[in-house]
Amino acid sequence: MSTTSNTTALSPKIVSEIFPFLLVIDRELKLVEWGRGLPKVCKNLEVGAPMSSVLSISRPRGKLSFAMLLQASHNAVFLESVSTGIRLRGQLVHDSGSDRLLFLGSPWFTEIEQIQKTQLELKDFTVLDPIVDFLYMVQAKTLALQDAQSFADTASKQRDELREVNRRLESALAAKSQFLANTSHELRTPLNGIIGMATLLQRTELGSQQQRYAEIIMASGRTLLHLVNDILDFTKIEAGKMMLDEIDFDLERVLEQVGESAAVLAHNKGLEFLTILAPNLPRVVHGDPNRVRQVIENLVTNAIKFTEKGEVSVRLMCEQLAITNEGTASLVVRGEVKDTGIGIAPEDQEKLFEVFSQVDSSMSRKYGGSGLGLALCRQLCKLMGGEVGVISEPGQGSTFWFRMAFRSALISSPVPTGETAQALRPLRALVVDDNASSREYVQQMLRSWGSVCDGAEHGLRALEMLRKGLAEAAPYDLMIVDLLMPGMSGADLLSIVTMDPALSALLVVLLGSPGPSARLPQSVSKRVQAQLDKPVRPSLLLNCLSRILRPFAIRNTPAPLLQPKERALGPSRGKVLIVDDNPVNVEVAMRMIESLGYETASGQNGLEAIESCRRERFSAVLMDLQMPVLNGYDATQQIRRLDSTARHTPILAMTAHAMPQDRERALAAGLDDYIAKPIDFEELQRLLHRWIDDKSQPPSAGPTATAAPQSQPVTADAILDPRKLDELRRFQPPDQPDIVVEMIQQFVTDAERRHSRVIQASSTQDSASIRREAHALKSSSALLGAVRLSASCTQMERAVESGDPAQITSAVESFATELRSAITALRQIR
Amino acid sequence: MYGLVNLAVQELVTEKFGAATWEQIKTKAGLQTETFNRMHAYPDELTYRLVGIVCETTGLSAEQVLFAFGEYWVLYTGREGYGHMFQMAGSSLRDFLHNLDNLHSRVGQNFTQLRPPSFVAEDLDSNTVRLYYYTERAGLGPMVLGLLSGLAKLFQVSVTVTQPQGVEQQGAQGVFDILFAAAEQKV
Repeated sequence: MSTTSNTTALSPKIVSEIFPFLLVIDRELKLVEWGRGLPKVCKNLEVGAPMSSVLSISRPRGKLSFAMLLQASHNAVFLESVSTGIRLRGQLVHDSGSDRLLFLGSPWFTEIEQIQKTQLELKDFTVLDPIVDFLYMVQAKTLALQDAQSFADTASKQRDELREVNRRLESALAAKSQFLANTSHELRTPLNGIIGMATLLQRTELGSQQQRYAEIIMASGRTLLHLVNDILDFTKIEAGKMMLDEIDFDLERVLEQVGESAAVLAHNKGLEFLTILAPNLPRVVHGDPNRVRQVIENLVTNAIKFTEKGEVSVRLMCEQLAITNEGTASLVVRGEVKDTGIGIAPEDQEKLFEVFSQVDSSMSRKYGGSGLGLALCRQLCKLMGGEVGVISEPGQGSTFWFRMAFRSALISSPVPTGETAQALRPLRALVVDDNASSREYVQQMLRSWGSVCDGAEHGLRALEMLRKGLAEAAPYDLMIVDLLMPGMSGADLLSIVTMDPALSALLVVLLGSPGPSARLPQSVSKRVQAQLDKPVRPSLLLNCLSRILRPFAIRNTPAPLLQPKERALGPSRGKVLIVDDNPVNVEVAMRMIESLGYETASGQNGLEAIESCRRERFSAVLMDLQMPVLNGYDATQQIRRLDSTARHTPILAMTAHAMPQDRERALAAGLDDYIAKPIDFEELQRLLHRWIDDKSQPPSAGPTATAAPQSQPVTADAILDPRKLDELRRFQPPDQPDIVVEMIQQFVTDAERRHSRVIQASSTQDSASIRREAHALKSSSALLGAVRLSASCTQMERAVESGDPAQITSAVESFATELRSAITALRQIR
Repeated sequence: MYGLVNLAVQELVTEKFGAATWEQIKTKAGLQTETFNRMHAYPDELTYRLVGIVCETTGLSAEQVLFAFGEYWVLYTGREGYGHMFQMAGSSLRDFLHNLDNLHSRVGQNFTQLRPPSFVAEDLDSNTVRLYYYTERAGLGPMVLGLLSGLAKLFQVSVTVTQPQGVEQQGAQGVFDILFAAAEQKV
């Protein structure tokens, strides 16, 4: 604190203000004076007391002496209060005038809580002293860390809670899925009963009012079944459990299948129905044909429903195509289902694809529908890597479009080869159709195969063109003519053509609509080389032309007309092997199949089926999957070994399980198709038609039904529902023993055998056997109208599922009682 | 303002009106966050909006809400990790008031987005301290009244706070006279 003439001396008061924790020591290291703040840090401060009695020096280290401290005057000095333990940080300055050392510093803390233990306050620290700011900052950072930790803890807790909720949801979903699986099975069985019986009822002699009632029962049953299926699909998609097939399939075939039912519906409403496959569309793609069909079918059915006149068309085209190095392609297929119906207002268009949403409730009343169909289409398209949408204006019709992504083996639309290609190239063709879309589509097909092709919108124009061709020495070789046209029909046109010898070389293909059509006069009929159903499929047209054009060099020789979908009636039927361990099921299937005009044979298990197939070739095998000795899956694999490249026996699974995994397992095992039990008559008819008749002809009108005796309605507690037996009698062939009596005898024998097995299984707690027997008897007893017995079988199945021994014992006892009652009641039937 | 302020609003509402009311206020204010980060700077508008919605939802006036908030703020910050800072600022209310500006200055220096108010305390006589309140924010006078009430509770002294009329404001947004009724007690 010396002064010179050019400097301002700092008075001890100023120094003390700036350094409230100042300490001054002499050469003997004794206390001389101190600042105002130091007493709050050190107790017992006395002038002349050794410094070491109140403060220890932790830095610098070494033997403590004035000289050592003097030397360290540029170093940091740490002192520690002997009485309070408070540390001070600062530095030593030598006052050469007084030869004393001044410690200039202040207390040092690393946490604000440490100050709380002292008597120090904010005002004890000078504004220059950064320790308070440092402590505030540390405190703030500590709080921020606490917040971060707290957020992390909360997030962790919420994550655990979410995991738990997720686990519960998954468990609930699994339970719901199981419930739905069971419910769907339980719902389908009675629904199939309703639909089946209504089908049979329609085939009996009914008055017009009764016929109408039967139609309503049928339509309602089908709608309900459709709805149950839609709900099941939707729930599966929602639960992320919808598995899509991954197989190669023919897009054209899918479109054809849609067309089979849609064309009839459209025709019944007087609508034109067209299916159009763009030439650039690869035919065989990799994906799920059933789901693709489901989407198109849904859109087409809607379009027909909401169209009163005009046309409905389905167009499939390739929107994107990328070829991989392996020669496969990934492609996006765009489909458009276009109608000339009522159209949809823009504000209603988005609502269409929402679940249970229809444009307005009056639509639902007028046109029916669950409101699930389009929502399901959207979900399915999404699953197939695509989307769905609509372009529409009220009164201007609608175009529902969709996109789906597939892989493809790059097999494109049919291409003519060899003689057919040569014959087609110079061909001059005329397409006569009043419907422009249909006409242009066929023309486009022919042009893509190299033919010269013109179109005529009506018969008169066609005649003009035919005659002009003759006059110009460029006659038409082929005329493809629509049968149903306004004004001059296809038949009228053909009558004129037939009478004109100049046109005798003209080949004629007639386009008709499925279902009953106008009968052609014989003279005209002979003039037609081939007839195809509309909508025209490229492959069928090409096959047909190939057949017609083969004898192109020797014209006027009509070609045989026997291609799928080409009309030709013949007596050919097939023989179907029915394999089921339940004799009643065999009997019913047999009666149904025989009523359709096929022959039948039967077997009780897989082994018998293999033996039969080894001995004889069947048109198809209807195979139960769960059978003793050898099940249907294994039997199918064995039968497949008997097949050769040239011979493939269609094996059709029948099972009471309606879940897709059963179907998938069946298809994976080599079965070709699938039908749910109890068998729906129409479905069976379609199935056999697809696998047997498609190669020859459609089935006949069906069984010769006899009028059923009128039975009284059954009461809820009745042992037997006699109406079931009445329905079975409809399949009674003339001059044959009573089939119902035969079935009852078979049933009683079978049921008593199964009862013994149930008793034995019950004593050994063999739940699987109890369930198997209950399952088998459930359907056969229901077929014979033993309603209470069937219910007791269901109860027994459920008891086994519950795993509760008491429930199982009770269910088995109840089953035994019901069985006795049912057998007694059935034996009285004669 | 820092999240600590909004968090205090949340706690005040939850404590006095229940969690459901706070959820209502949050929804009305369009708040997406579950809670506030104390050391994160939020826009002043959010705090004003929250106070507005608290008034709307609880039926209290803005003055009442701000007063309640000011009172709560002292207790809340004391509890939420700032108690030591408070204690350092003075062992009596009078000391505390004299150190109030120092405290805000140091805090403001560290938290640059805080823009804290400034206070000047002046001993009028042995029983009265006059406090000048400087801020760039408008309408928060009732909150200072609440703060002083809260501080009196914290230091366990009885005071009467008035806003004297006709005195030289010296550029302050508010002037408050704190009249001590009894001798201050140490906390």
